[in-house]
Amino acid sequence: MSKTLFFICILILPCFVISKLFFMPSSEYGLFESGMYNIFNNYLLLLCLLGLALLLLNTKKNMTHLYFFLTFIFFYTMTLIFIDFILEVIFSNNLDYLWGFDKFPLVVLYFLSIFLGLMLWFNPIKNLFKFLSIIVFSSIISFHVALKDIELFTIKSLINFPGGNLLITLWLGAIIILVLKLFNKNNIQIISKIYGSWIIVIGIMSAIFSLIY
Amino acid sequence: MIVILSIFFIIFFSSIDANAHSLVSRSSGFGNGFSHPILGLDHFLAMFGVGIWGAQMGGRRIWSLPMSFPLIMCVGALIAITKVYSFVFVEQIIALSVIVLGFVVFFKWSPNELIAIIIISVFALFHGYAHGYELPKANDPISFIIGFVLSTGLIHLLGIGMGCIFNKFHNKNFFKTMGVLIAIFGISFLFKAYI
Repeated sequence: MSKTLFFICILILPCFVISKLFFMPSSEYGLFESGMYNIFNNYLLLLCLLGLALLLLNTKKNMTHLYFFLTFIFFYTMTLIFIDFILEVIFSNNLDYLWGFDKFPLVVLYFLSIFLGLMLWFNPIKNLFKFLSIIVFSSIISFHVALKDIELFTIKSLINFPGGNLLITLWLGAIIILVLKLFNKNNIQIISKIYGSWIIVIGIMSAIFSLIY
Repeated sequence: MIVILSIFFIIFFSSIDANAHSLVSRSSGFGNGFSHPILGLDHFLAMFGVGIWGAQMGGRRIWSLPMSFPLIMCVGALIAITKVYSFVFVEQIIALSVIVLGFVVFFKWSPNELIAIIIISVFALFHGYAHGYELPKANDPISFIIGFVLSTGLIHLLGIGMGCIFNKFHNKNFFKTMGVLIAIFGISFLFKAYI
């Protein structure tokens, strides 16, 4: 199962993306590519992704990974569909005044890194907490994506900016999990706790710095 | 295939940004943040010492010391950023932290976990203050933050890794040598800070 997954992640997905970009006119894949670039370009997103991978590592059944995947897709899509409603809630509560709306796409990531850091500290074994982490992660990533490129969400969005983000997030997440599985479990637990403190520090400092300057 | 891949990776890693419109500043972003604790030998030795000390003591303290250090460092950095209080003798106390950590590694001192955390917390506050002082000057402060936190953590991990390896082989000479070297460097930093 894990070997098949590894094969799919390492070979088929990148081949699919490259072939897709190769055969399409640039006017059509530009948004998709910039969506992919958005993930690679953002240190905080990558750090949060590594944090989530460390959290999801210790699952006993391989099938659970499939449920994680489906949960991620569901909440990612739902947040994009209800983005107008979420924005209304933010504006009506004046949440955007605190940091400024232009900083909002990054501010949500600071809070995501603090949340994931805390989860890594407690290192929950129960799947319930892992699902909670995935829900928070996918919703915030989706919200970040929506703020970067607000559009009416349709099925076509999945081959535009949100689709590029989604594909790379899933691909990177799967690769990180598969690579981390090669390491000793005890060492991974120690690293998780230490890494948790790093991303908490990054989140707190970035949030306060953005608030002041 | 190997030749093609080699050429690809050589080109990929050797490519650099165009500098035509670069903003000239001492601290630009991730790279400067990342190199700040590594190239500053005083920071490097202190954090390396914390990692080795944690590994030397073993148990929970392997991760509790490197976990608390960045958190307290964050408090120090926030004090510097917000300018609520200005620390004095920052360089001297950072040098002192290197000396103390050198000695604790040399003597293999194994105190209560709380005492160990309190000791490194005092030093972490000053290290954080020094990092935080550089922050507002950076062109991309958030990347600078990420860079210095990551490199601080990686230095801890290097210390833990080396400490665990030599602990496994019961190599006491390694710890004594490292302790002496760290302390000697610390003394030289202290002299430099006064001169």
